[in-house]
Amino acid sequence: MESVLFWILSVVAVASAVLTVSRSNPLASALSLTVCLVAVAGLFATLSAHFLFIIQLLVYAGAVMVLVIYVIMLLNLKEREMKALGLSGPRVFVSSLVAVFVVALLARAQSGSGGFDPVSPVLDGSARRVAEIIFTSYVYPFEVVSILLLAAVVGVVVLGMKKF
Amino acid sequence: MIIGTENYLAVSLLLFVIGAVGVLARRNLLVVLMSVELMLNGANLAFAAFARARGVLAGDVIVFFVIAVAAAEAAVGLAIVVALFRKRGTVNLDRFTSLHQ
Amino acid sequence: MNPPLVTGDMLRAAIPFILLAAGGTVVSLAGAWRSKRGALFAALFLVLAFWKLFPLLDLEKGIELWDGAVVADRMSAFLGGMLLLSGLFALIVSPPVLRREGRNRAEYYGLILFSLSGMVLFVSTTNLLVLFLALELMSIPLYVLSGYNRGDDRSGEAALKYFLLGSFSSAILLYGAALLFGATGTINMAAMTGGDPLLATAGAFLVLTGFLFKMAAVPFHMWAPDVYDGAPTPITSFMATSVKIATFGALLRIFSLAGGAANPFAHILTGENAAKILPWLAVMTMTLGNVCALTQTNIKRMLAYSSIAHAGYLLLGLIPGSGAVDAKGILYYLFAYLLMTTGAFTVVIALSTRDKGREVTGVERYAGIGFRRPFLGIAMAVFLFSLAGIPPTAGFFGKYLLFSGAVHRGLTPLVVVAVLNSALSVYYYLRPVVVFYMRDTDTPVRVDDALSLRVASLAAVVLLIWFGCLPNIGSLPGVPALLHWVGSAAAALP
Repeated sequence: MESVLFWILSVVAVASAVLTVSRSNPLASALSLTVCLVAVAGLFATLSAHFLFIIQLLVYAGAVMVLVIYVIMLLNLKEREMKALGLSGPRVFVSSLVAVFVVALLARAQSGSGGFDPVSPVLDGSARRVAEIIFTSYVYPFEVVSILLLAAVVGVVVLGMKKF
Repeated sequence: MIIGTENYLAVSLLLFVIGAVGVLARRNLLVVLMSVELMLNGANLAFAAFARARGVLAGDVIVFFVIAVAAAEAAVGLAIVVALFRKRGTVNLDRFTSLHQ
Repeated sequence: MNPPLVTGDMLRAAIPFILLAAGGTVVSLAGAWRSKRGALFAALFLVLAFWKLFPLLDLEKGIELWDGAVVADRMSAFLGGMLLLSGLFALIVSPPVLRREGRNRAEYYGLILFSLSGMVLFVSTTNLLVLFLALELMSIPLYVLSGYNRGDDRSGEAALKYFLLGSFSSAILLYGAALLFGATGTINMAAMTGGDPLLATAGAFLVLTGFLFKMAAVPFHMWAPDVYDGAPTPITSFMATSVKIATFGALLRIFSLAGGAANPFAHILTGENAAKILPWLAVMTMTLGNVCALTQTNIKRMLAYSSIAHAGYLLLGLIPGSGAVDAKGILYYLFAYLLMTTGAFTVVIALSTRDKGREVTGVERYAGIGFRRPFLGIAMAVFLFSLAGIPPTAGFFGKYLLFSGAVHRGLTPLVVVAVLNSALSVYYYLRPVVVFYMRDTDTPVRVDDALSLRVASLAAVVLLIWFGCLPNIGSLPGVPALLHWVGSAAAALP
């Protein structure tokens, strides 16, 4: 049962990822990306990372993608421009070559990792367990992230100002 | 049947590389931004899978932080895109060439 | 029972970051009231952070907290001091430019402080999570700042380019961090041992790639000339110096951890095939930087390529050869690089003019400035001589330290290439000086006489010569004192 779920989710994730980078209409890309993010959330769930599952759905597939789709609609691109911006042959060729090289290299590195135990469902990634270590061992990074978000907000305000 | 870590790693690697190809091959700024998100997701999945393989919950915490960072980055990136679009009326990377003399 | 959440040690170690982050918050808030005193407020916080950083220079033993999330020692204190100095220069030279263009907003200075807080964090951690967060915290404000000049199309494009390549490279770094975590089961680089060697090496390489992007090393340099050219000049100056200091500082710490052969980064430095990569990177970086700089007529682009070349010289110090990483040489060189690059950009700011919102920085426009403005001419000559490595400046002494250290570690062929490169660089560094003094024109470029610009360039000139050749005079620290600080900072590394 679990392995069936895993395979379905991974196929959906990879296929929608391919669609994300290959569709010429950015709105189609954004919707594919949302599907991909939901599938990754499902993969988190099969890893028993329940907290990540819900955060991925709420923050990533929810908030971030709404922002992206909102901007796409705001820009309201013309059909002609979108077509011109689809995948271009030579670039795809070159970057695919690079990609195949990187995949081969990293896959070899990762396949060497025979020393891993299979995924153990024992590790409990519930909100309670994750929160416990976030607010004890990781309280410093937590504060850093809050500053980071503040800096990003100030930055966006500066970029959004029409005039000074 | 229990799924091996290497299966999760394969998916994460594919997501990462597909995202990288998107960044390199696409000229539409918005799609490039989304491709970066794909790369981050690949890394996130690897963190979550490794957390299980190693029995260290730190992996989950990192994913949580990375999602926050990705949100911040997406906001700034989109703001840059909107600011440029207001001025130039395009999202085509190849049209932003005033820096090449 | 859990240990207490906050202790005195923690505050002592984290206070520079806290002050800078708080400063960023307060100064940005002042922007809401359209305050014109943003630079002053920011400078106050910066000086406060300096003052709190100073005691850390005397730390006998480093403080390490939260699994390597914060490592405060003499090394991080010295690097932090240089970063703050770079930030202080940015705060001093920015107001005249911003006032000239009528966009002197407090948010600008708040973002500089936020970026600095990220950099200070970046050089004082061995924890991969904090490293990633610090990288983003220093980069995100810089993306925005490089697009700050709204009147100029090139500024927006610089922001875009910097953002795209920056986020691409941090995604690569993050994936590398994931592999390292998977191989070793920890995110504290100081505690990484063993694990699957192949996986660990792949992770270490991806992390290194992220760093190479940030320091603009070949083949990941292509963004630098465009971004440096398009960004407002004070920000270019700030980026060119502080980001280099931060990345090389963090790399120094990471590489010095590789002393244990089981550390993943040891594979990169001393592994059989991998060890050949860094020397090639160094050679390509310095050569390409210098060769491309030869043909530039725009001084900002020339300085951008020159900063790539300097990254190449600095990479030389990171190659262990038959010894260890040359922390002393790198720190001294970074100090010299900070002063001469900021100084050169300050003169560029004083001489820059605008044409329909665009900043014009062609070298040819500087004809005759040398005699009309003796101080500016002499200052620029000092900065360029120092960049070229001509005595008696700190640039020369820094190069001497780096190169002689490399010879001692058995890297003579590399040093030969580096010396040839420096000789080549003299040509393009001298060209602006020639234009300054040997050409004349009836329509000289307008000069910005703002006091702060003069103070900044004077300070850079004095420090460059002072720490390039003068001994300790009474209680005034000279070269030996600087060498002592650099040495004790280097000794704090494992």
